[in-house]
Amino acid sequence: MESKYVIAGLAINTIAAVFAIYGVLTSSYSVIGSALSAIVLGVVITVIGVTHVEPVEELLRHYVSDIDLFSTRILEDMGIMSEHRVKTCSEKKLLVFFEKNISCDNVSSGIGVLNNTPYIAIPIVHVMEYVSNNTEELRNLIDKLKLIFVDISSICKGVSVNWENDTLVVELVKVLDRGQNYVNTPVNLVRLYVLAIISSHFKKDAEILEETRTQDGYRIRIKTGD
Amino acid sequence: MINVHRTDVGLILLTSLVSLFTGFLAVIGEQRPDAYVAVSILIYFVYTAIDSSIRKRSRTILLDLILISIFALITTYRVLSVLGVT
Repeated sequence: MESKYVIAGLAINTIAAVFAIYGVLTSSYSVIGSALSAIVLGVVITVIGVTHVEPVEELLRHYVSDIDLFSTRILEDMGIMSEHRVKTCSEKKLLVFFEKNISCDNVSSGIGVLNNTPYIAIPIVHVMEYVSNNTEELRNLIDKLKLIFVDISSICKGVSVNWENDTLVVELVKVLDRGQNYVNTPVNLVRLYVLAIISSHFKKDAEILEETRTQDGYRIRIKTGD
Repeated sequence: MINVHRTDVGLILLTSLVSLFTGFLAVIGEQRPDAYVAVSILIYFVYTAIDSSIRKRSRTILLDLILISIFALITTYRVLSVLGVT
């Protein structure tokens, strides 16, 4: 809640109510109309104040950037930075970075080695829950991607989805500056949310096969399933 | 440099627009109170459609439904009165 908006809204409503009463007593319809107009405005401001969500994104943005750098360093130390692959394990709700093919069945969160293959598995429970809760009423994958990347986060201006040879190609069209900032490290919001949305939609694991950055877009080829 | 919150700017602009149009209606002598309400509601929706800074950080779905309903009622009443039904 943002109390300054609530106070301002209630103050406008109170003053407008007084004017409305005055208008009624003097039978001045323009005063009544103006007062009603102010009451509409007051109610809008009050509701905005009551339902306001704190804008912590400034703090989160810098925190996320530092966490991304830390995660990148871990990838480097594990020796899987240059040829790394990334996928989501849908059931275990993990984002896994690895070099050679590994099955989600035996992966657990944290840093590990499986069949002589090092991996890093980052829990994404809250991200998957958030994606699932926000997109459950939408049926199409493209609508889900547009909701997250265009409507909610304004990372890009449009999204396209195509199937090519049993792989899914997702393209973020006209990625805005703020979106460009988030694709500079291996652990980044765009990769994470694209994989999370696809995993959530198909209820399967999803792996990035190829990524291409165009002049103002970002193209990702993904395969789903094992 | 003053750091003004985007929602503050949005609300100030919305208030300015509503005040401007309300004043205009009063100056031209509009006597129908529902016209004032309808114009305010319309300005709210048009402005928040252009500038999402107000909606981004607040949940206004219920408010939107109520305002749309009021606007629809006003419009329906006026249409019916033009048609001579009321």
